[in-house]
Amino acid sequence: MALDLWQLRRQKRMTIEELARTAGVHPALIKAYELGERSIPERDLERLASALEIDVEEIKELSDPPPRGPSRPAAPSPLEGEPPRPRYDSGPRYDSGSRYDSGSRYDSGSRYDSGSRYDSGRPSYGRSDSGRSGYGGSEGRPSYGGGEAGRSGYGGGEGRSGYGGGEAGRSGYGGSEGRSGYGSPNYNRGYGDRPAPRYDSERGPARPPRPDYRQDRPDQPDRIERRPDRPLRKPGGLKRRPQVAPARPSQLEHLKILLQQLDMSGDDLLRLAGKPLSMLNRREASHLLTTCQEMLAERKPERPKGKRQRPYLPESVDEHELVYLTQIQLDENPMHLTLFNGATLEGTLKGFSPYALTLVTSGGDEVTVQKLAIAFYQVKPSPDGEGADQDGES
Amino acid sequence: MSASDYLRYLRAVKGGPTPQDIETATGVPAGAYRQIEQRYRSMGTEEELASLAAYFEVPTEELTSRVEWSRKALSAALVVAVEQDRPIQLALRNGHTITGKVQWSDLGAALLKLEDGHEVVVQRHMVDRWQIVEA
Repeated sequence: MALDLWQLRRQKRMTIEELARTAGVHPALIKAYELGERSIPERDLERLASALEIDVEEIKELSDPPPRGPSRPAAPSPLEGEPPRPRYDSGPRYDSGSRYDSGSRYDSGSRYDSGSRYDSGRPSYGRSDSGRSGYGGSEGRPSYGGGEAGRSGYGGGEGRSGYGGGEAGRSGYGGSEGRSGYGSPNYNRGYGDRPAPRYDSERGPARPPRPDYRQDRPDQPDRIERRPDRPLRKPGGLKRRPQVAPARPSQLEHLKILLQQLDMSGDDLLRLAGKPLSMLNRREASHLLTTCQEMLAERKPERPKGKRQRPYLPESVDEHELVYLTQIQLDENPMHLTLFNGATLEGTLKGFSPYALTLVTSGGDEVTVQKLAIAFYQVKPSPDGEGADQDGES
Repeated sequence: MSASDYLRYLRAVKGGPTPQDIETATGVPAGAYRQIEQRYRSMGTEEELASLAAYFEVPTEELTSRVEWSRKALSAALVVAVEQDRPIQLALRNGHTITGKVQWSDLGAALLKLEDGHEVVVQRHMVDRWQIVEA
């Protein structure tokens, strides 16, 4: 069942800013979507669904505005004997001369996004200590009574977003932690000719929940009503796009290669994926790629560690001679070396390197010969052997 | 014999100077001599080969004529001899000729099994000519 965007966002414990950043949608737009002032276009629907890690169908295209939060929690009663708190509106009012002096309620004017009313740099409701305003925000940043550092929130107690309720003690018009927002102490400073509200203990019963803000603006009918040519679409009756994009061509190509390596046919693929290759979406293709790679890894024998893998070239390896010399050294067989100038040398191999051989001659001397100087060598035939060194022909 | 093998041979004849020594003496760029000697494909400019020929006191043509004689040709002949199980005849620069079946060959040497059963390891840089013996 589709839910309102704000509900889904709260379920994910995300702020509007976080959602905006993740989805790549402007926070003001998200706020408008959540307030139900705008229906969510399909492009943003997909982005938001992706950011919230849900399916597109789970988001209502036109959200119902979030319910008003409960009345502000009662402020602690003044201690007995304590002098009554001074009224904050007794002094000079802040923002005198601004349009907020008109005494109108914060929400009695035009919509929050109505443009120039909440221009940058002008103080506004919910102004926080950091100098950034809420409800339209300074520097042109829209926010709704945002708390400190311009973080959005409809009077959110900690500057966290929220529309007056839902998260206890945080958001809501009755923001509980005394920060900016409609329930903050700043709110009590008063504005315009309207006296600042007092704490509940002074005011008596809690203020009834505010009516829907749209009802406060009969002069500005709902956007949908203003556009009768655009039929109101039912949230459930939308023609949805596929929730996940189709698989990338590169994914399909990679899959084909892997399936070939696995000797898998189309039927095997159907069993594995449950659908043909062309019907896979991006997520399914990714999952299938992982599965195939794992299957392939299981089939391949593990390469011996420490063994350098090189393409085979007859002359790219030098280990044959190394192995041969090692065996000669172990067997302690005498060697017969013929050098490039025709000289010969006999002895037992004591050691060798890629570039030289060290022999111990019969007299006990050690002689190191560079391979460069060697024409050929052989294991010296035993005295009773046949045909010693008979291959040399001049 | 390829130019690289021939250079290797010349270096041996000259007493085994290092590639760095040769580069210093001839003015060949650092690393170039090693590339010429070790690479399988044709390497070295005419100027470099002329400098090396002068250093080794051989005619320049001895080197330039071998540049296109790829070292791979000997490798290919050794591989063919193994695949066809035919003996190969290697004529060495010191005048020896060795004929036998190739047991293995690698970067620096080849093992030939002679008709009498003895084994000889021939250093590749000594091989001047070769021929696969007809069966």
